Amino acid sequence: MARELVIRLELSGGESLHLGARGRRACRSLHDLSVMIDSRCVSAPLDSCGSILFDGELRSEYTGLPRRGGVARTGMSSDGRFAVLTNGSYLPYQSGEWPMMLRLVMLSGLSRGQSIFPVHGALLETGGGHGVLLFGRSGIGKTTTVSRYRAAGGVCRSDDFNLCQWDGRNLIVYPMPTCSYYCVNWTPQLRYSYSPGVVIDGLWWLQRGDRESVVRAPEHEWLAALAHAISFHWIWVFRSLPAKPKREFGERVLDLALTLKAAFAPESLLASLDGDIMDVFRR
Amino acid sequence: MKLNETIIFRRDGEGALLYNPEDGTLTRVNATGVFIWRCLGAGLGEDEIVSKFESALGDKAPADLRGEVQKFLGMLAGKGFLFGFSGESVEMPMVSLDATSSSIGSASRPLYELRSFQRVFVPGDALVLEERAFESFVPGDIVAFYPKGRGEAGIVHRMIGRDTNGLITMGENNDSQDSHRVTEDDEPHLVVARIRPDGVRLDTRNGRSGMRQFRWNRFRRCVRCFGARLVNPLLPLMFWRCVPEESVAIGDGVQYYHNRKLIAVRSPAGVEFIPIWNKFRFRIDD
Repeated sequence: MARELVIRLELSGGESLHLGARGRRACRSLHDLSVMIDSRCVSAPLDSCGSILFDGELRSEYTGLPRRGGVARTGMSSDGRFAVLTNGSYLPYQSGEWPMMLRLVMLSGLSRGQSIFPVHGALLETGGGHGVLLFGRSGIGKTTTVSRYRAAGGVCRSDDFNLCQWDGRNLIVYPMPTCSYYCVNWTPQLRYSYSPGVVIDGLWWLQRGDRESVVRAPEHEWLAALAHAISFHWIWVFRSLPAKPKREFGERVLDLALTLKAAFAPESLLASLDGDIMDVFRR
Repeated sequence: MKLNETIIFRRDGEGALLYNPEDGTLTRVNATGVFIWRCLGAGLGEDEIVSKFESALGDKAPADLRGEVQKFLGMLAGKGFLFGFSGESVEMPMVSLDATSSSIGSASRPLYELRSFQRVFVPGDALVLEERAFESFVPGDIVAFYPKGRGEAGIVHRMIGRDTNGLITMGENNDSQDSHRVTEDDEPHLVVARIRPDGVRLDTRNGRSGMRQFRWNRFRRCVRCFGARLVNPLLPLMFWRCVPEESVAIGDGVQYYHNRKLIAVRSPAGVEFIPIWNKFRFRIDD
């Protein structure tokens, strides 16, 4: 395996994200991601990447992200790119190195004005390249809803990590591997179809109800839940940042949430184990 | 009192949105809240805010204006928006798996800090809490509770028994059991899982299995203490010990590195070497 690896994630409108790795272990982690989402490795210089995963030395280090068995240290160069220095004692398949890299590459893009961000939620596809994004706090039943949706014949390619792109008119979502499943139960057969992206018709805040239905949600609570879903995969990064970039990125996340609030009606899926989830799509 | 400078304030109609990037919570405050927020931003204290309100409202000021202001400040302190508030904080941040309410801000998780649960939790772990009937706690359960007067800073300890005054709790790594007995007023919650900083969720051991883990950890602690009692007097004689090359300050703590490897972590509770035998190679000066 090459000692330097770059993979490119194609997005709509000619945009793309580059992730790079240097060193055997880092390359292997990134290679796992490229296999899982079936993306192409490209021959591009590491300098073109928004985020680089290192095994080796880091130049502009300023903080550490606590991890099991040690820390991963990050640095940010003057142009806003992130780099991750992995701790040598870390087991590659429990490290979650590529999720960290994905988070950082999106954060890096955010600092350059790209509207590409992660959302913690489940992508329920309704056919024809369209779907709805389900979000809600941990433990509310997203995975259960996904299981029910799949059991009823629906397609759902991600239930945790979604790479979202706002192009000014549409919200396009690209499924990403489930981070926790990858870290705990990784097998070479795990596959998540990254492309094609899905155009989102509705942002549904998942709540429990007596009857399966989609209802109008209280606007501010819906917005709060959405902001949390956008922040979810970045919280650990934000916590380790110095105050100034933390505020700047926070402002951008809030902007994104308010942009989506203006574009989508605040709707809530009241999920009930006794109901038929396909009913809400038939209506 | 000092506002948390990482909180993002954004006007929204007459009110405002307060967004905390550190835990992703978004809260909306009304026009009164905006007024108080601005006063706090200008460095005013509680008395000054109350008197400013009184002069602004005149006869229309509510009878318990101070109480209302204190309640709001307590809410800000409870959400981590305000530091140095001496009154009682309200609205503890916690996740309840069975909760069906949708109050804004309840989705943030309590974080484990310090060292009383060393080898069970790692500092930075997010804890997943579950509401339980007070009577259903059994010895071995890991209990998160919030004694009055500690603000939002809760305690996570293992329940090791029960007496007429409440639950008897103890940290795995502490010298003795807690003098405080946990009652229903402390709002005890069961810690059902921890979420590692990389997002992996791991269930905790509670009940009988938790008690076995507790005994094993106590035994290991005894061995460690015994070893430390033998070795610590000899440390000043170990002339080869050097100071780690670099240190990184994170929050209240400092992390020390040598050859890009983490050597030790200094927290308010003291210095911890990682792994423990690094104390024979390195010294951390005060």
